[in-house]
Amino acid sequence: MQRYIRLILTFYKSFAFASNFITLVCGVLIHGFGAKGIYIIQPIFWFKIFTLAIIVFFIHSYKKNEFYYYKNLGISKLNLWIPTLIFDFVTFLVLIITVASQNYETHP
Amino acid sequence: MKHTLEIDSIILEFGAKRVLQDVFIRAETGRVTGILGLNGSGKSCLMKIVFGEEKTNNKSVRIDGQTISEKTNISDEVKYLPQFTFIPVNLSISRIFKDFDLDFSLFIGHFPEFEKFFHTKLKELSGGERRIVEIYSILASKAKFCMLDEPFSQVMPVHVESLKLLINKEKQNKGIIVTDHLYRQIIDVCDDIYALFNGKTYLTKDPSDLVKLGYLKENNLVDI
Repeated sequence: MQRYIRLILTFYKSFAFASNFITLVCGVLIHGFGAKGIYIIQPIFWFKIFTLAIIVFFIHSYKKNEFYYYKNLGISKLNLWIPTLIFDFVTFLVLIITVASQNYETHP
Repeated sequence: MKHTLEIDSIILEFGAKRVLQDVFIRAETGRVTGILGLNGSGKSCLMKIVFGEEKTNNKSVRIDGQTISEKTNISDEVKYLPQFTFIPVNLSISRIFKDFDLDFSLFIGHFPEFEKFFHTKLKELSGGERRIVEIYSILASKAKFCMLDEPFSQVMPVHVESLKLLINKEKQNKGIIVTDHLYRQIIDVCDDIYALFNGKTYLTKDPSDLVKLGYLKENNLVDI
């Protein structure tokens, strides 16, 4: 289990910076819109989905050889993507919900 | 314990071209099985099919008579060294050995010049040095079988000799399938050699069969 988590983290590191940067930009945008931030949550949501799809495509194109490393260690592509994408998306949701609720408290 | 790996009934087509159609390969613990063939004959594809990384119309891969299906986690049984760099280059050698559960001191026994590289990241090594780490990781890790795609090609001659010694040591515990165009090394290290031509495998009896099949010329046999 320890090895599995270590390998998942290594894989996540390969796109964590780009993905978290996009999440941060989404949070800043919602914050910047203040009371109207609630209205851009839907496009922001789809923007995040779209950028995640680009990241998945990028990793499959430019880091495809590294999947052999994980597979030799018993971890399939699906077992790499599912936990990392869930973690990444939950981080995104927590951030935008936090920022949107703070906006609401400031500008009810 | 002795294990057998049998590969047959493989059909691989790229469009109208049939690359593999009549394949039978048998590997077993204690033996090194070589595959020789022209460029594009399907050697690498065959290994990828066995490892489940190349989809095919039909295949039968069996370990000890048990069929390996798409759902089976084959990496518990078979490790695969592709012909390209596959280990993330940001990882250190110590981390790679930890992942594969390998003993660094045993590695140093075969390749003493790597002693200073224990904490070095793969990206800081030369291409040949990286390849040695990759080959060792696959060859020495726990598995019933390992498949090596071009292990000798990017490696300097002194390391080729060390690799051959390592292969002979590791074959005591597992079956090894190897392919490479450095046919002298393959002939030297392998117990059985299959030639792959026109999508079919032929179990060769001696190197002269490789001449008959058009893989070698007569004068290539002089120094074998």
